[in-house]
Amino acid sequence: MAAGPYNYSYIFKYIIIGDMGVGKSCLLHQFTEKKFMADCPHTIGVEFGTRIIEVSGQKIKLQIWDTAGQERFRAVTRSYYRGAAGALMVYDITRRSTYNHLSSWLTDARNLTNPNTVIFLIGNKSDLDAQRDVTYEEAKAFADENGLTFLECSAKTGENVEDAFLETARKIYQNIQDGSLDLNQADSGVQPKQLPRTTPAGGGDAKQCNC
Amino acid sequence: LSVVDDADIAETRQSRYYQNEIRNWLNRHQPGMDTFDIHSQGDLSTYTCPELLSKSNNSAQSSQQSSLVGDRIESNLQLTEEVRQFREKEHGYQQELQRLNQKNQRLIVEIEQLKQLSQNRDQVLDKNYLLTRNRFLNSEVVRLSSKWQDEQSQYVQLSRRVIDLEAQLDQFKQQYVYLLQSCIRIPVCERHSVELVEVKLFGGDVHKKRVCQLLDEARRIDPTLPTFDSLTSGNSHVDLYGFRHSYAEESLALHYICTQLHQHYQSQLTAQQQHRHRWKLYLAQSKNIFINNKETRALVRNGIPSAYRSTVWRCLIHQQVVDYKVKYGKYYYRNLCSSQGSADVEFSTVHQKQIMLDLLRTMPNNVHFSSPTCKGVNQLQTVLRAYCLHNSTIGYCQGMNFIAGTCLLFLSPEDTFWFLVALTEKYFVSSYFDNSLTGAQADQEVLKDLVAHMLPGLAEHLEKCDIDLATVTLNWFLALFFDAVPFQLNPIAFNAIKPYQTEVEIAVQIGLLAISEPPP
Ligand SMILES: Nc1nc2c(ncn2[C@@H]2O[C@H](COP(=O)(O)OP(=O)(O)OP(=O)(O)O)[C@@H](O)[C@H]2O)c(=O)[nH]1
Ligand SMILES: [Mg+2]
Repeated sequence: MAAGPYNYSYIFKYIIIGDMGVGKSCLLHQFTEKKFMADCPHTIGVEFGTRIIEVSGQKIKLQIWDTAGQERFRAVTRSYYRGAAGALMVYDITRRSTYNHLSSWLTDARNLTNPNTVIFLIGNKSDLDAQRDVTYEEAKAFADENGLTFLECSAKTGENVEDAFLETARKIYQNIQDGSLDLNQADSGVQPKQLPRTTPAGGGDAKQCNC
Repeated sequence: LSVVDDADIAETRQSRYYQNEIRNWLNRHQPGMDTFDIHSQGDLSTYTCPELLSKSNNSAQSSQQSSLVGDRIESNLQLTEEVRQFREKEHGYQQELQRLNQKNQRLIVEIEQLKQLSQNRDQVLDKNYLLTRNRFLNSEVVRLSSKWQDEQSQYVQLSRRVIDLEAQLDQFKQQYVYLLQSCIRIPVCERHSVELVEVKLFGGDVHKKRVCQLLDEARRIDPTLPTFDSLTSGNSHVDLYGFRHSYAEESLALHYICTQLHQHYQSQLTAQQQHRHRWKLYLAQSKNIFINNKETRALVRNGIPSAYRSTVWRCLIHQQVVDYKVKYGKYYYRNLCSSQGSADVEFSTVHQKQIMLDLLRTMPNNVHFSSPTCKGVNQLQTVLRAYCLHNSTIGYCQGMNFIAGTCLLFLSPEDTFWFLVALTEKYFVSSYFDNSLTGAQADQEVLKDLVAHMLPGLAEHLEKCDIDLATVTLNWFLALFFDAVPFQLNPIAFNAIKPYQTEVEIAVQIGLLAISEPPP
């Protein structure tokens, strides 16, 4: 595995949260497949995607958990916040209600992740500018207020999607570099490839999980 | 013989003619001699004229008389001469006649002989010929019939063999498509997301040709099967349930065809036909009332034939909610549909909005659910709305849309509504779909315990990967395996659940998970 073509140094765990139908699954799909998945059933519980990216010459595997947006699924999805290094918080620029719920999502994200978790605000469906219900400025102000990085994206056109995911990774990597993120902490959301968490003591032949 | 007759008659005629001639002549020359009778006298040579003789004797004295007598004698002599000539002539004729008669006689005899001869010859010929011919034919018949018997037994043997081989071929076909079907895999490749699957078939287009050939054959029996072109050409194939199928990759199209063929072959099996027949008898017998007994369970477990699926589902649902129907009245569903909304306006608008968001995200690849104007979409909205009005404590929970959508493919909106009611209020505890999905989450814990106990290898693997089993299984519970198994199987899972309770669902889950259990 060590010299494989898809070798990587870290696994970063992400979660994507936000209201029903804001486009979380489409964003994930656009990021992993570089395609807009127009015909896609909604999410029940959680879905999962991966992609390997490069930050500062380091290969990093992103392990992304896409959660269901319906309120009652929060009881289920909350358990996935634990150990997330990055949280993408998404609203739909054409539906104000999804923006209004951000504070509630943010509370969850803050309470259930570690203090170093990078929270990134995404205003999705930027291609539907004509139906815009939330201005960029308003959301930008909200992001600044809460110390979040913010981008408007479109899962349909792919605009800014790559940037949102990569920027989050860069911030996490920076946290590792400057030592603010403690890799030994179980819920850091970052897993150095070389140190599998469940290596039995003295067991040099521990099987490497492929996920 | 008639010839002879004619000749005879002609001869007789001729002799008559001469006799008449003679009489005429006599009359002319001796008009007084009336008494002269040729017939009585017979031979004319013996004829004497006594009158003439006595006259010549008595009047010899007179010279006058003598010259007269001389004349007379003269003429007499002439006559005698003439008579003699005639007599000769007649004699000639008679001889001629006799000769002809004899000839005639001879001919008759000859003809008679010839006749006999020809008859005899026919007889002799026939007999011998027929005898040998018969003998030959008999032997031929015997020979052919024994040959025929040989051929017959050979034919029986061969046709038995053909039947065997055909059965074997059918089995091979089935196993072949199943094998190709099993060639699908999810490449464990870091680049890709998990949805990506691939099918690798070696041997050039051998399999494509073969599968297309099998497909052509099968389509003659079941024309609803897809064609290779309809799957790959961009305009997709729509299956029996309304799902669109279109593949960018040929190998994936072939894979899909193989699944369809396998199913087709399965349905052609006699066991399946018998199974359908048993269902038919059962339905006729039970008069649509199902008792949870061994027979019902066995039948349901082997699958409800698609022809009876609607009927059976309807009956099972009706049985579950018959008390509700009595309690709420006949027009309950209709009233809910036409109701303006519940007292809690905010509650109902929230649900209404959530339902709207999910209508097109339920079965986007199904023609009945793919656009806002589709009948299925409208029905789905009506049913889900009615349910929210019926049970405002539970309201709309994502997952109900999948269940209702699937039901609507087979049932009326009203039956679908009652199924949701039965499912949320009868089969599952009411907390199952509640605001924090308490029941569903509890079941995840039960399942986890069971998996740890029954499939320790899998449990350990998940543990190592730090993956919560519920990640995979929660939606199996909430949407009744909607996206966990290929759609063709889904109704079967539905079927299995209906007459029982949650335990069945858990059993099915363990069965599905067992597939992933690493070998010991
Ligand atoms: N025009 C436009 N439509 C989008 C975009 N992203 C998503 N959509 C549409 O929005 C709807 C919801 O997208 P999803 O990705 O399913 O939303 P979700 O956030 O995953 O929803 P849940 O799974 O219910 O939480 C779908 O019909 C998408 O086609 C976008 O960038 N532009
Ligand atoms: Mg989603």
